[in-house]
Amino acid sequence: MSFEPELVVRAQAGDGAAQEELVRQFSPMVFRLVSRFFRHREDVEDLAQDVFFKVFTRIDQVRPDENFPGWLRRVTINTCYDELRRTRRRNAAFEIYGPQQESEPVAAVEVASEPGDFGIARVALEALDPKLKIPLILKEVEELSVAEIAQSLGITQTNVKVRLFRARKKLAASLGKVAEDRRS
Amino acid sequence: MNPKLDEFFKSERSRVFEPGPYFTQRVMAQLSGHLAAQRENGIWDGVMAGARPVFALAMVLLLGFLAIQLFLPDNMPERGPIDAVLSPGQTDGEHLIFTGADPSSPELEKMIIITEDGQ
Repeated sequence: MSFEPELVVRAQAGDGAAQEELVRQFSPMVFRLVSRFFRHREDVEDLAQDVFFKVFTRIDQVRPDENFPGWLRRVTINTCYDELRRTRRRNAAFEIYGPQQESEPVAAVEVASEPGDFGIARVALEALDPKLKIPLILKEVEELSVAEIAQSLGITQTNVKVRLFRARKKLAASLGKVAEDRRS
Repeated sequence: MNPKLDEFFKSERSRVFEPGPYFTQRVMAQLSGHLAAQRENGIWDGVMAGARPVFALAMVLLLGFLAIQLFLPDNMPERGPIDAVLSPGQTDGEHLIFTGADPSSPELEKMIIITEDGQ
């Protein structure tokens, strides 16, 4: 993607046209990244909007020599991580304190509507802790290198490798369990 | 890795949402709304959210100190009624007035009455 660093300098000075141009140029990248973690269009749009809002309220933090696309990717991933953690906490609270439902769980209904074994894989992936899920998706779906993931998450490369290993192990275990539940 | 998982991840690569036609306008509208609110909020927006309680406490303490300085009289009486009761240096007359006890001797009673009449 061709990008003029001058746009960032102008946006830092409060130039609305430059800010608009940055949104236009980078929104496909932000949407693509957010789509990796969320499945509903409304969620993706809201989160992408949150990302750009954060970007422009903190744009003073971007140094002239800093790689803006890399910084934007970091903000996007952090925003997704926060939302995944919030959703996980909300779901856990709902399971404990929410009304008892006799109907089939939503995940199970969605699994049945997906082709082949993808539904099972998706449920297993959804169940992963965001700390493990994010590096795994960035590696396997977004095809980033370990170094790029480490830079995006602000952790060491060793830490990324450990998380990837744990994520794969947990995913394999969950897949086995879901498949077993399905058979019984 | 499990080949089925590989296929699953491949299928996930193609699942991408594109920004809608009004996405840029939505972002710019949110941003200008935030800037307008920031201008209305004034001084509090200049202070970081985490530092606001500390800043507020410092302001209250400063104003409290100024209020005490303004409203307290400069010359305070050296002895109040409580000091007078507790102080061992009080006269017999003061002791009678503050404790409400009976005069210890008829001479003292007479002396007090004469003093009161004189005033």
